Amino acid sequence: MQYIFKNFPLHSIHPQAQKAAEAAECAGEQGVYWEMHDQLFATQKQWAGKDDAVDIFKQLAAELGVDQDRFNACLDGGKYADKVTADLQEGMNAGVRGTPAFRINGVALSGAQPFSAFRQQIEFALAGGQAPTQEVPADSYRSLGKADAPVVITEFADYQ
Amino acid sequence: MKKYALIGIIVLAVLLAACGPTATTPATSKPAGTTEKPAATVTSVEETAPTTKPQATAPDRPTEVPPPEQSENWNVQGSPDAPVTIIEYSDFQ
Repeated sequence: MQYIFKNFPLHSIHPQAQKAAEAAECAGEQGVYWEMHDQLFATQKQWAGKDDAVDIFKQLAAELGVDQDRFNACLDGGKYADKVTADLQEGMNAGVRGTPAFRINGVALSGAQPFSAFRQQIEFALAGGQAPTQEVPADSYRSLGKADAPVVITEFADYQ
Repeated sequence: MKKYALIGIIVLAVLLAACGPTATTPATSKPAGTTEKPAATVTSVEETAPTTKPQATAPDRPTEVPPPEQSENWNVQGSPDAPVTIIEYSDFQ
Protein backbone atom coordinates (compact mmCIF):
# COMPACT_ATOMS: atom_id res chain seq x y z
CA MET A 1 0.00 0.00 0.00
CA GLN A 2 1.17 3.45 -0.89
CA TYR A 3 -0.27 6.46 0.90
CA ILE A 4 0.21 10.04 -0.30
CA PHE A 5 -0.88 13.19 1.51
CA LYS A 6 -1.66 16.12 -0.78
CA ASN A 7 -2.38 19.62 0.40
CA PHE A 8 -5.85 20.96 -0.15
CA PRO A 9 -6.13 24.16 1.92
CA LEU A 10 -9.68 25.49 1.99
CA HIS A 11 -8.73 29.16 2.01
CA SER A 12 -12.22 30.53 2.29
CA ILE A 13 -13.11 28.73 5.52
CA HIS A 14 -9.66 27.80 6.88
CA PRO A 15 -7.50 30.93 6.75
CA GLN A 16 -4.44 29.34 8.43
CA ALA A 17 -4.53 26.17 6.34
CA GLN A 18 -2.19 27.45 3.63
CA LYS A 19 0.61 28.29 6.06
CA ALA A 20 0.01 25.07 7.98
CA ALA A 21 0.51 23.11 4.77
CA GLU A 22 3.68 25.08 4.01
CA ALA A 23 4.91 24.42 7.56
CA ALA A 24 4.53 20.67 7.02
CA GLU A 25 6.51 20.94 3.78
CA CYS A 26 9.25 22.95 5.48
CA ALA A 27 9.40 20.24 8.14
CA GLY A 28 9.54 17.62 5.40
CA GLU A 29 12.57 19.33 3.96
CA GLN A 30 14.28 18.57 7.27
CA GLY A 31 13.06 15.00 7.52
CA VAL A 32 10.17 15.36 9.96
CA TYR A 33 7.18 15.64 7.62
CA TRP A 34 4.94 13.04 9.27
CA GLU A 35 5.86 14.22 12.76
CA MET A 36 4.82 17.75 11.81
CA HIS A 37 1.71 16.42 10.05
CA ASP A 38 0.65 14.70 13.27
CA GLN A 39 1.52 17.69 15.47
CA LEU A 40 -0.46 20.10 13.27
CA PHE A 41 -3.58 17.98 13.63
CA ALA A 42 -2.99 17.39 17.34
CA THR A 43 -2.63 21.11 18.10
CA GLN A 44 -5.22 22.36 15.64
CA LYS A 45 -7.35 23.99 18.34
CA GLN A 46 -4.36 26.03 19.55
CA TRP A 47 -3.66 27.76 16.23
CA ALA A 48 -6.85 27.61 14.18
CA GLY A 49 -8.29 31.09 13.85
CA LYS A 50 -5.25 32.70 15.49
CA ASP A 51 -3.31 35.54 13.89
CA ASP A 52 -0.07 34.21 15.35
CA ALA A 53 -0.54 30.70 13.96
CA VAL A 54 2.77 30.95 12.08
CA ASP A 55 4.61 31.49 15.37
CA ILE A 56 2.98 28.36 16.77
CA PHE A 57 4.08 26.41 13.67
CA LYS A 58 7.65 27.57 14.27
CA GLN A 59 7.43 26.46 17.88
CA LEU A 60 6.10 23.04 16.89
CA ALA A 61 8.94 22.62 14.42
CA ALA A 62 11.48 23.67 17.04
CA GLU A 63 10.11 21.01 19.38
CA LEU A 64 10.73 18.46 16.61
CA GLY A 65 14.37 19.45 16.58
CA VAL A 66 14.65 21.19 13.23
CA ASP A 67 17.20 23.82 12.30
CA GLN A 68 15.10 26.78 13.39
CA ASP A 69 16.65 29.45 11.22
CA ARG A 70 16.28 27.29 8.16
CA PHE A 71 12.68 26.37 9.01
CA ASN A 72 11.68 29.96 9.73
CA ALA A 73 13.23 31.21 6.51
CA CYS A 74 11.46 28.45 4.60
CA LEU A 75 8.07 29.26 6.11
CA ASP A 76 8.37 33.05 5.99
CA GLY A 77 9.71 32.95 2.47
CA GLY A 78 6.86 30.77 1.23
CA LYS A 79 9.32 28.31 -0.26
CA TYR A 80 6.67 25.63 -0.76
CA ALA A 81 3.69 27.87 -1.50
CA ASP A 82 3.78 26.79 -5.14
CA LYS A 83 3.91 23.12 -4.21
CA VAL A 84 0.86 23.54 -2.00
CA THR A 85 -0.94 25.38 -4.78
CA ALA A 86 -0.01 22.65 -7.27
CA ASP A 87 -1.45 20.02 -4.92
CA LEU A 88 -4.60 22.08 -4.61
CA GLN A 89 -4.91 22.43 -8.37
CA GLU A 90 -4.37 18.72 -8.86
CA GLY A 91 -7.12 18.00 -6.34
CA MET A 92 -9.47 20.42 -8.05
CA ASN A 93 -8.76 18.72 -11.37
CA ALA A 94 -9.48 15.36 -9.74
CA GLY A 95 -12.87 16.64 -8.62
CA VAL A 96 -12.04 17.30 -4.98
CA ARG A 97 -14.26 19.98 -3.46
CA GLY A 98 -13.94 19.44 0.28
CA THR A 99 -11.69 17.76 2.81
CA PRO A 100 -10.75 15.13 3.52
CA ALA A 101 -11.03 13.51 0.11
CA PHE A 102 -9.42 10.25 -0.93
CA ARG A 103 -8.58 8.54 -4.20
CA ILE A 104 -8.01 4.83 -3.85
CA ASN A 105 -6.49 3.62 -7.10
CA GLY A 106 -8.32 6.56 -8.57
CA VAL A 107 -11.70 5.77 -7.05
CA ALA A 108 -13.16 8.66 -5.03
CA LEU A 109 -14.01 8.40 -1.36
CA SER A 110 -15.06 11.71 0.19
CA GLY A 111 -15.42 12.91 3.74
CA ALA A 112 -14.54 11.36 7.07
CA GLN A 113 -15.54 7.78 6.32
CA PRO A 114 -15.53 4.79 8.66
CA PHE A 115 -12.87 2.11 8.31
CA SER A 116 -15.37 -0.22 6.67
CA ALA A 117 -15.69 2.17 3.71
CA PHE A 118 -11.93 2.16 3.21
CA ARG A 119 -11.77 -1.58 3.49
CA GLN A 120 -14.46 -1.96 0.87
CA GLN A 121 -12.66 0.38 -1.53
CA ILE A 122 -9.27 -1.21 -0.95
CA GLU A 123 -10.66 -4.65 -1.54
CA PHE A 124 -12.36 -3.37 -4.66
CA ALA A 125 -9.06 -1.89 -5.85
CA LEU A 126 -7.22 -5.10 -5.17
CA ALA A 127 -9.83 -7.17 -6.98
CA GLY A 128 -9.95 -4.82 -9.95
CA GLY A 129 -6.24 -4.19 -10.26
CA GLN A 130 -4.81 -7.67 -10.35
CA ALA A 131 -5.61 -11.37 -10.41
CA PRO A 132 -7.47 -12.67 -7.38
CA THR A 133 -5.21 -13.63 -4.56
CA GLN A 134 -7.43 -16.38 -3.23
CA GLU A 135 -6.89 -19.81 -4.67
CA VAL A 136 -9.88 -21.82 -5.68
CA PRO A 137 -9.90 -24.86 -3.43
CA ALA A 138 -8.99 -28.18 -4.93
CA ASP A 139 -12.13 -29.73 -3.57
CA SER A 140 -14.10 -27.78 -6.14
CA TYR A 141 -17.53 -28.90 -4.98
CA ARG A 142 -17.22 -26.00 -2.57
CA SER A 143 -16.91 -23.40 -5.31
CA LEU A 144 -19.33 -21.85 -7.75
CA GLY A 145 -18.47 -20.00 -10.95
CA LYS A 146 -15.34 -19.94 -13.08
CA ALA A 147 -11.92 -20.56 -11.59
CA ASP A 148 -10.41 -17.63 -13.53
CA ALA A 149 -13.09 -15.08 -12.65
CA PRO A 150 -11.74 -11.55 -11.95
CA VAL A 151 -13.38 -11.44 -8.54
CA VAL A 152 -13.37 -14.24 -6.00
CA ILE A 153 -15.44 -14.16 -2.85
CA THR A 154 -14.49 -16.57 -0.14
CA GLU A 155 -16.88 -17.01 2.74
CA PHE A 156 -15.69 -18.36 6.03
CA ALA A 157 -18.69 -19.45 8.05
CA ASP A 158 -20.09 -22.02 10.33
CA TYR A 159 -23.51 -23.61 10.31
CA GLN A 160 -24.78 -22.25 13.56
CA MET B 1 -57.65 68.04 7.63
CA LYS B 2 -60.05 65.14 7.22
CA LYS B 3 -58.35 64.28 3.93
CA TYR B 4 -54.94 64.11 5.63
CA ALA B 5 -56.37 62.02 8.43
CA LEU B 6 -57.80 59.58 5.88
CA ILE B 7 -54.45 59.32 4.09
CA GLY B 8 -52.77 58.79 7.43
CA ILE B 9 -55.10 55.93 8.26
CA ILE B 10 -54.48 54.34 4.84
CA VAL B 11 -50.72 54.60 5.31
CA LEU B 12 -51.02 53.06 8.73
CA ALA B 13 -53.16 50.24 7.38
CA VAL B 14 -50.72 49.50 4.54
CA LEU B 15 -47.82 49.59 6.98
CA LEU B 16 -49.53 47.11 9.25
CA ALA B 17 -50.41 44.86 6.34
CA ALA B 18 -46.87 44.95 4.96
CA CYS B 19 -45.26 44.19 8.30
CA GLY B 20 -47.68 41.45 9.21
CA PRO B 21 -46.45 37.89 8.83
CA THR B 22 -49.13 36.98 6.30
CA ALA B 23 -48.61 39.98 4.01
CA THR B 24 -47.07 38.53 0.88
CA THR B 25 -48.40 40.99 -1.71
CA PRO B 26 -49.00 44.70 -1.19
CA ALA B 27 -52.53 46.08 -1.48
CA THR B 28 -53.57 46.76 -5.05
CA SER B 29 -55.56 49.96 -4.67
CA LYS B 30 -53.43 52.47 -2.91
CA PRO B 31 -53.17 56.23 -3.24
CA ALA B 32 -50.11 57.37 -5.15
CA GLY B 33 -47.15 58.45 -3.06
CA THR B 34 -48.34 56.99 0.19
CA THR B 35 -47.23 53.38 -0.06
CA GLU B 36 -43.59 53.79 -0.90
CA LYS B 37 -42.32 53.50 2.64
CA PRO B 38 -43.78 50.13 3.58
CA ALA B 39 -42.88 48.71 0.19
CA ALA B 40 -39.31 49.92 0.61
CA THR B 41 -38.94 48.36 4.05
CA VAL B 42 -40.11 45.00 2.78
CA THR B 43 -37.67 44.94 -0.16
CA SER B 44 -34.75 46.12 1.93
CA VAL B 45 -35.24 43.20 4.28
CA GLU B 46 -35.31 40.82 1.33
CA GLU B 47 -32.20 42.35 -0.14
CA THR B 48 -30.04 42.10 2.97
CA ALA B 49 -31.03 38.59 3.93
CA PRO B 50 -29.24 36.44 1.33
CA THR B 51 -25.97 38.38 1.07
CA THR B 52 -24.28 36.66 4.02
CA LYS B 53 -24.37 33.22 2.45
CA PRO B 54 -21.34 31.18 3.53
CA GLN B 55 -18.90 30.18 0.83
CA ALA B 56 -18.96 26.66 -0.52
CA THR B 57 -16.14 24.32 0.46
CA ALA B 58 -14.18 24.97 -2.72
CA PRO B 59 -11.28 27.34 -2.12
CA ASP B 60 -10.79 30.71 -3.73
CA ARG B 61 -8.86 31.36 -6.89
CA PRO B 62 -6.76 28.30 -7.60
CA THR B 63 -3.99 29.52 -9.84
CA GLU B 64 -2.30 27.51 -12.52
CA VAL B 65 1.29 26.79 -11.68
CA PRO B 66 3.56 24.05 -12.98
CA PRO B 67 4.13 21.24 -10.46
CA PRO B 68 7.40 21.57 -8.56
CA GLU B 69 10.27 19.14 -8.87
CA GLN B 70 9.00 15.95 -7.29
CA SER B 71 12.11 15.01 -5.39
CA GLU B 72 10.19 16.51 -2.48
CA ASN B 73 8.38 13.25 -1.91
CA TRP B 74 8.22 13.27 1.87
CA ASN B 75 4.41 13.21 1.58
CA VAL B 76 4.58 9.60 0.39
CA GLN B 77 4.56 6.44 2.47
CA GLY B 78 5.01 2.94 1.07
CA SER B 79 6.24 1.58 -2.22
CA PRO B 80 5.36 3.20 -5.54
CA ASP B 81 4.92 -0.34 -6.85
CA ALA B 82 2.19 -1.14 -4.31
CA PRO B 83 -1.00 -2.56 -5.83
CA VAL B 84 -3.11 0.04 -4.01
CA THR B 85 -2.40 3.76 -3.79
CA ILE B 86 -4.41 6.00 -1.50
CA ILE B 87 -4.14 9.72 -2.10
CA GLU B 88 -5.57 11.93 0.61
CA TYR B 89 -6.38 15.53 -0.22
CA SER B 90 -6.67 17.46 3.03
CA ASP B 91 -5.68 20.54 4.94
CA PHE B 92 -4.63 20.72 8.58
CA GLN B 93 -7.40 22.99 9.76
